[in-house]
Amino acid sequence: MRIERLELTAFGPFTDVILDFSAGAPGGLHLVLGVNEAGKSSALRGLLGFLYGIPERSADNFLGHKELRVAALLRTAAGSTLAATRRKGRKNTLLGPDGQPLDDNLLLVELAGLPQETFTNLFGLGHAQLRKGGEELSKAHGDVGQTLFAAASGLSSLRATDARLLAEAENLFKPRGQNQRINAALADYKRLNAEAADLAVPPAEHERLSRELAQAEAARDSLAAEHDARARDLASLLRLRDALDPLDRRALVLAQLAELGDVPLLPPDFRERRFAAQAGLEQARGRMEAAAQARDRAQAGLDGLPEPGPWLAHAHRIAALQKELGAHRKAFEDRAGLALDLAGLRGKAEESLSRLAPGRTLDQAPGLFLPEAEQQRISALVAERRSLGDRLDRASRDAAKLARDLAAADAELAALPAPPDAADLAAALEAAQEQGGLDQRLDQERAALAAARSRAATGLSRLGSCWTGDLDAAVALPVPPDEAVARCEGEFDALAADVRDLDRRAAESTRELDQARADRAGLEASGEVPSEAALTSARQRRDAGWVLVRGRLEEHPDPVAEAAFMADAAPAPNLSAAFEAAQAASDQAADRLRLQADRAARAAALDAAVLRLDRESSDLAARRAELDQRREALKVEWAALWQAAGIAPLPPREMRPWLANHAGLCALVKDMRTQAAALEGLEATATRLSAGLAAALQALDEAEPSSPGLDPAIRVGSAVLSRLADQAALRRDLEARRADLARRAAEARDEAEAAAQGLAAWSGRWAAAVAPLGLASDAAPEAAAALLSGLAGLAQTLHDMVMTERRIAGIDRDAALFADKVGRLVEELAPDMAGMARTSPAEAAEALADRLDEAKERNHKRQDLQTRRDEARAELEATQADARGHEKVLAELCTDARCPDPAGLDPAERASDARSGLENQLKLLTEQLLPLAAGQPLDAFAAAALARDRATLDSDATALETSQADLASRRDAANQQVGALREQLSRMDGSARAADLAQEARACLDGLAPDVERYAALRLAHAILATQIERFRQERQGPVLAEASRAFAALTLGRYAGLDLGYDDKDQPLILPTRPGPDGRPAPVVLDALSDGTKDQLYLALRLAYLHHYLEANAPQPVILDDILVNFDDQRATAALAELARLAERTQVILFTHHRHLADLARATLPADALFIQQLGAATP
Amino acid sequence: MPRFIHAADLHLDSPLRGLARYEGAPADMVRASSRRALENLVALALDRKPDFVLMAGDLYDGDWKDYNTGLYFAAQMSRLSAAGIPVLLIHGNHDAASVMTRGLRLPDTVFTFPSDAPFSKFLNEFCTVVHGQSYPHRQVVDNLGANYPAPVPGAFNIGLLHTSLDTAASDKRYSPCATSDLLAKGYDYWALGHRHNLQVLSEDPPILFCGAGQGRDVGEPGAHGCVWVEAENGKITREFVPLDVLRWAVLDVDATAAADRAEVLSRASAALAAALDQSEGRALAARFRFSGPCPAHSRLARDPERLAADLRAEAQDLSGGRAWVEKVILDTTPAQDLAALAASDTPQGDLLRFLNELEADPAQLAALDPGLDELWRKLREHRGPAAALAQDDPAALAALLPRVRDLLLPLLLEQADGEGT
Repeated sequence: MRIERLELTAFGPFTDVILDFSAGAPGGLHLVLGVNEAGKSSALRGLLGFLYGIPERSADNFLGHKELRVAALLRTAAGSTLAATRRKGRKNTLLGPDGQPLDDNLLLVELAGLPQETFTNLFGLGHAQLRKGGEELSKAHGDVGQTLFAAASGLSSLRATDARLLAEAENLFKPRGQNQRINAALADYKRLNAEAADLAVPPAEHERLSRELAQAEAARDSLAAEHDARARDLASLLRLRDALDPLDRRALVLAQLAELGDVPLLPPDFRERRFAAQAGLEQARGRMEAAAQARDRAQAGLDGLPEPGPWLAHAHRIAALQKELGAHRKAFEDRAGLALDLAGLRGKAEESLSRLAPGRTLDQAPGLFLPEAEQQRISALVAERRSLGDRLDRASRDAAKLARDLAAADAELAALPAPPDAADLAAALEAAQEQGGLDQRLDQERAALAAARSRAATGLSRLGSCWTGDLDAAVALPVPPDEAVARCEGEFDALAADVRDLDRRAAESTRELDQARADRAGLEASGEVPSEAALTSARQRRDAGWVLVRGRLEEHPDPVAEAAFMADAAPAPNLSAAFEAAQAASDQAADRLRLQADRAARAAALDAAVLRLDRESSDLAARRAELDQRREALKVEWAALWQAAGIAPLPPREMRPWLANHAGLCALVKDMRTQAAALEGLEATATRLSAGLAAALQALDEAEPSSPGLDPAIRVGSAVLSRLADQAALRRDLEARRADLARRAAEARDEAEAAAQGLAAWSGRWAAAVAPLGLASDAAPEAAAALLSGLAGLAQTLHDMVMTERRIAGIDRDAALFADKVGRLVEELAPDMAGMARTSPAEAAEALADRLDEAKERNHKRQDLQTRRDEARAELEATQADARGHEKVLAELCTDARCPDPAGLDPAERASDARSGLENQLKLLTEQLLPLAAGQPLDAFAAAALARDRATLDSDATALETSQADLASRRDAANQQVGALREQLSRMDGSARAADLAQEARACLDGLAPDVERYAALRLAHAILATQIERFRQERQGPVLAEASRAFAALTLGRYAGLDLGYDDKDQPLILPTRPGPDGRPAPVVLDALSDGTKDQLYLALRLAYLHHYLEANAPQPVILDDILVNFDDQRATAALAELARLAERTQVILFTHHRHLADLARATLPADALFIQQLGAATP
Repeated sequence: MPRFIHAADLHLDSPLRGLARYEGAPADMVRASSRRALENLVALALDRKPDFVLMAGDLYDGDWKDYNTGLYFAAQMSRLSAAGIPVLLIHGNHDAASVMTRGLRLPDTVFTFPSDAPFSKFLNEFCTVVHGQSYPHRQVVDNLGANYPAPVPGAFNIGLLHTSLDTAASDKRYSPCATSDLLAKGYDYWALGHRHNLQVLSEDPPILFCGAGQGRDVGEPGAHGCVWVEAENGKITREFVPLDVLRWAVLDVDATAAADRAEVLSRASAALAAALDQSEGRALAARFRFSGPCPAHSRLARDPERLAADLRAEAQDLSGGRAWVEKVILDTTPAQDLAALAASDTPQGDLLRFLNELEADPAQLAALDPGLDELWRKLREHRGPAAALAQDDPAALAALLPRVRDLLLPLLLEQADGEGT
């Protein structure tokens, strides 16, 4: 596949940029000069985007294209062309020239099915990859397999990938490692299993422990029983020993008790009770005397106070009078004010009455007042009259104003002109507007047609290289068909290639012939070359000499022959000397031939080569002549193709663009004709529409448009139509307004009439309502209202007068009652104040109150003295009873103590104390002894104890103690054993600890499995990669290394002679760069010693070598290079360009660069028909 | 007519398989899960008070020799005994050989069927007869059920049997029999044990495996528990009651066209959420299986541990710490067409073809020396399942080739800048 043309329709910084790669088929070295790096890499991405699709996340739409698009024209491996456009999208991204989706496989087949990654790795190379490739070479240390595989595949991560596989494997496992995951997990697994086994309880163990526990418990129980029996014996013995002392003391106490005899045992509080009784008696006697004295003093005081009299019995009546006194005085004061008010009211009433009804008295006034309902009716009628009046006024005013407005509107309507009929104009205008922008389209179409004509003229002139004529003739030209041209071109190209090949081979042959001849000459020059022929001729001469010599010997000499023989053998004095010389020459020739066999053979070989090359040269010359003939025939055939067109054709390569021009011109002419027809139609339409509009305007008496064309006519028509529409609208508005005014005027008149009727009805009702007031039927409502209001005021004044009179009468009644009450009290209690009561009941009331207070004071004092006398009497009685109680207690105590009187009480108490003390001692001893007796009666126990031998008791006890302690320690030991066994059994509690550990071990194993699988896969991947690299080396090493060696020498300008193979200390094959040695033989150097730049060149040599190798067996693919020569000096860059041109003989090579001087270098050193330079985003330079 | 619980295959203290530990895994939730299942069974019995409980074999594993397991079982049986609930049990292939079954003292209310002959246990109180026989040893190739007696007329007859049913594998045959054999007996209910998932062979009369108390590995997904049975007037109703504390699930995630890790994770997350919903609040052990061609394949395959770690974090977030990522299986394929690349005359194509050759030719694969012998030797130093990880036969190596291809893919599809896709 090759790329003929790349169109960056909308991609990255490009819009409609075209790169032409059609020249130089089948290969061709194309230099694309980029203005800057961004543009260059965008173009590269565009190319890849076309081939493999534009990535979804492409950043190449920063110009905001509607859609990213790249188009290209490809020449397929089968020789046909494929034109397609790639758009960015998810599917149907590859489109044919007709815009229909194409199958992506069409492209994939051309790309040999390689994924994008592989394609770019194999056929793409950029500056960065070149550097990385060089570095990787260094890291591979010359390993042939790795180096070849990496360079051939273009994979720069080969070594790193392999290293990563091994590193990950090593992290997982090492045969002698501990911390690697698999090693560590296995160790954990082992440990967990061991721990689980430790914690697990074997069933037999449980049985054994249970059995041992039962035995231990039996032994312990028996020991415990024995120990307890011994303890009981010892306790009994010790009790006897401990009882001996208390028993002695008990006997003594019993004796003392007997001696004391039968004295009464007095209660513990006896003495206390005696003291209390004696003290109480003394106290009671003292209090009796004090009480008698107090009683006598109170009685004396009472006797000195008089009786209080009847005052207290009437205290409430006096108090009631006091309460009334304040009100009585206040009423007296109010009465004077009220009398004054009454006089004022009367005056006011009389004045009102004389105004409203002159001649009437106040008594007659109520006859004037109307009932409430009558008054309200008159008020309502007054209000109604006001409302009716207002309504009538308003309606009359409105009716007058509306009549005026109506007249004005009628006048305005009459002044408006009648509307004309604009339907025709509207129809014409609509028809014209439907064709909207016709003038503009006409202009555009005219301009387009003019442009097409101009392009056609240009196209026509371009045909001028081999044909002249007008457009019609050009279109009618019978040019040969594409297939025939392509066939001829192919044949011309094939012939040219064959000629190039023949010429190259002829040149080679001539060079080899010259070389052979020169070598032969050189051989001769370094001394005569012995040959069989020379030997044969020397021998023949020797033999001829011998015939002459023998003739002499046999005496039939041949002097003529002898003279000739001697003359021939340089100057020889005689025949024998001549024969000897011939003899020596023959021997010499034989010797030389034997000694210089090599030179002889080489000379023979060279001679043979000269012969062969001579023949080859003439063969080649013959074939060249044949090719020339074929070319001449082809030229004739080519010319014949064009005969019909009357054209003497240039070579096919030049006729191709001519044909393309011609085809373009034909298409253009066709388009032009279509355009012209369309234009004509448009113009007719415009004329028709303009005429229609003009007629409609004329019908309306409107001015026609001042300028020609449809658009001005439309504008004028629209303006007229719009104006007419405005007039019609104005008239409609006015008519509507007049109708409204007429309706409202009628309504106003109706309203005025209704109000007038209401007033007439009101007058009748009014006359009836005001008659009772004595008013005439036509009395003004205001007069009636004033009269009503005056009457209401008079009524109020009369009412106030009555109320005031009633209050004065009430006050007088209350004063009489008060005086009567005071009089009666004075008569009963203090007749001395009778005079005062009559003159001033209030003062008399106050004097009564004072006398009552004095009586109350005296009574209080009496009551106090009586209380004190009664209390003293009660105290006296109580103390007497108390004294009698104490005397009785003392008598009882004497009875208890068996003594005649209280004086004997003290000695009795002391005897009782003595008896009580002894009995207590006896009780304590008994309490001490009872436990020791352990249930035996105390006397029997005492008898038994006293019977024992006191001297042996202690030693018996000691013996028993020793024996018991021994048993106790044996029992404890048995107990401990039981405890230990129980402890062991209790640990077998059904716990899940062992199971948990087993689960953990299982988890450990489950974690291990994926690691083991991963490790195996990693190791296997490494082994497979290594094996494949070695296979690759064995299969491809020969041809690839040979070519790489040549290219490396060329790229380094002979500084390095090439590449050789060596072996490292592990017998692994190594690539060794070689240098020309001093003896002319190449000397190897280690790869690591190369400079970085030279490594880059070595990598490039290897890459190019593999591409040559690949192209031998596979269809060509374009090789795309991105500025790979930036770091090469001019000489090496020149060499590299030559190598690229060499590759370009087999396939298309596209080199993007932004270094203009590379283009200059290339132009200077490469033949013009092998190099094609174009500027990215500009016309081809 | 009786009300009873049918349980089987408790496999007490048998470890769960496949649950590799990691930080954040719900290890505490699933600790001693087989015991928790038995405790759930006892709690169910104490709550509903059945007439009796049937256990159809495999209480524990024969090769497990920790007497604590037996003591624990005895303690649980004592709780049932205290509540007056009898237990009738047989031994199956796993616990027949267990030394524990001989020495263990169980409460009087626990009846173990003899192993020398079929026995009929009369439960007159409930008008029920249970026929059963324990396994005398591990491998019982005779059909024990065939010798069970004829049903007792008028009583509710239950057959208690541990059986593998009909199975082709000769080393997996335990008291083999056919459903028709069991139907022919004329019993009212067959309580079977051995198969770990609930499996109903017949509805009338009911013949069924109630399943294990707790699933033990990812091969036993879904709910596990016992069956509650009530027989009333000739009508038998059944109810499955889950006892398990951990559910197993295989989540198939279609990663087709997934662009990156985030998208793959989001699809996995959706699948996990659905599984969590179904696990009724229990712990969940999930195996993720990704498939389908996708651009993300190469990156996922290059670092499978990172994917696993991401899934674990996701699971922890989503489940509140009750989900366990059991395993991650990456069966995805690259989005690129490797067949065309393999057919190409390129070094990349050579390498792919070599992989294909190795897949087809075990001899050539065996001739490679990947240097695994030390690891195999180290694994074989251990007995049991660890040694089984040492798989050095060509078939096992061939099975690794897809993984190898995944490992080499980043190289094969290296971008021109030196990075794999």
